[in-house]
Amino acid sequence: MTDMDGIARGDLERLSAFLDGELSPAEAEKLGARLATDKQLSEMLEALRATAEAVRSLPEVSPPHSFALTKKMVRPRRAYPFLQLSTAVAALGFVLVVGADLLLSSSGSSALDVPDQVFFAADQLVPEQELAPESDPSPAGAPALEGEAADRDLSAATETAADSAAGAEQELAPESDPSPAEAPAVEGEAAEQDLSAAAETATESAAEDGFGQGYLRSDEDARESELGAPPGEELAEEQVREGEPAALPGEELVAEGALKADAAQEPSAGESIADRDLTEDEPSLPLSPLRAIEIGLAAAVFVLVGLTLWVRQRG
Amino acid sequence: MWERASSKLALSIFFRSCPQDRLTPYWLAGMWVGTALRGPLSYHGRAMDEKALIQGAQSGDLDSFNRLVLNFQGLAYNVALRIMGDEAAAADATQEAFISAYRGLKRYRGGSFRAWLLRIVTNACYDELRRRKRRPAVSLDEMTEQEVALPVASPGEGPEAAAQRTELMRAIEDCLLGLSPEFRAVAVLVDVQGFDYQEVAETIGKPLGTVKSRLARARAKLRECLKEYGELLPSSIRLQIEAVG
Repeated sequence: MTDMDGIARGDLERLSAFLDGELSPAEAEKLGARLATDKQLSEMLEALRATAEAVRSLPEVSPPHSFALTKKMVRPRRAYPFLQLSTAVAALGFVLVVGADLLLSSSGSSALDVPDQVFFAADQLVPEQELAPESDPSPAGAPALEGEAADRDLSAATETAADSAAGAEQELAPESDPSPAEAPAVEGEAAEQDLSAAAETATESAAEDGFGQGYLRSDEDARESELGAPPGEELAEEQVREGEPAALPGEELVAEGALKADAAQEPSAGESIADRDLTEDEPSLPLSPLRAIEIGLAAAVFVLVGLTLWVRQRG
Repeated sequence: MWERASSKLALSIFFRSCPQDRLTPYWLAGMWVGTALRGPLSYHGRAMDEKALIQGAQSGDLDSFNRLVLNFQGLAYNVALRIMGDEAAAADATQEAFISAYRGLKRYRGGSFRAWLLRIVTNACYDELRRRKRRPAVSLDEMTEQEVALPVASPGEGPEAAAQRTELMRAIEDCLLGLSPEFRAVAVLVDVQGFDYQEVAETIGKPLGTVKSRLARARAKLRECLKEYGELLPSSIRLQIEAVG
């Protein structure tokens, strides 16, 4: 195998090593004998020698500055191990919380399966709505609510529910008798589309009475309420058909407060379907503490991973 | 201590010969003894110093390590400069290498310290070159700084000779940069820094055969490259390089 100018690669390596005195005495002697007779080989040796000398003639350059280290340069990178540990702990915590949530969901309801439950309730209740077209859902019409608005208004909702229950108990409202506007206010197009005309009436009356205006404060909240509105509405209608006077808060978040209110007021009509359904839905709060922890941990893991990679890249 | 004693001995013999105001055999003998003793002793002393400094640095003494840095920074920087072909990048790689060396000093298990150190330097250069390959955008400032320091004219050297020498240096640098980094490192270590093959093998972490092979091929490629510069090269080098074929 030739490398250049008809010189085999092995010979080239030997010539190069010969130049540097790196051949064994036996090899050097053998190559010396060949060099005496092979002109091409000896010319290549001279060419390699000239090349090596040319490279050797490169001047030595003084360093631009001292490379002595300062304490700052070699300061231990404390942030990196800390970030690694924090990321690992956050990730482990996330896995544990999700695992716990899954375990809870297998034994009961969990924050993660709220939508299914809501849809399931909605599917079950739609025919009932059709069966009772003439019913007046005036006490209800309250959309289910998710998110922060619900949290913010939980106490208000509880009060409203308590008022509703008390009002219903006192008045024992008939089917055609509109409740005195305990239903919370509904604002926004989405909610309006889903609600029946009766619900709209209730909404108007509620708005007039100034109740529950904080329930839905934006279109977004109203859109979120779409999922929850039909069950609330239907349950209320069912209550009305059965002569159940209790005003239905109509939203899952409010349910707890409503149930407490019911318990406190001890409605004479006994336990309603709405109460039973709401009892089942009670643990499936859309923003349960467990879900909040999951979201928080996931966000923390993302942030910590980003920070760790950044610190690592900076070295 | 031995180094100082040998110097004293040389000086005492020298001064004893001084009153006679001529080069006496005493003076010559003094110089010979001093040189003969100082050579191996100073080497031994350096080795002892180096070992003590390494041990001090390994126990966390930054001053000890900085004395090692001062000993080796010229070598490290020049190797980095010839591999990188850029002064600023070479300085960065050298600094990074010294920081890495300090942090990884506990992994040093004896052997040639300069080979161990230069291995870190060459690796830092490879990393930087890889980074540049991934992000080839080079700023205008960097491009203008690409010029490697050229030799100043020697005393008594005419402007024509100085210009010719400058051209030769430029041609060699260009040809070196035309090699792949692995071949370039071997050529720089042997031909520029005068390392023996064994130390190069330690430095690049490859067997002796690989060093031989890479060096031969690097020299052959350099020769081919230098041939292309033709008339730019000094006639002595040109004739020798172009001799074959």
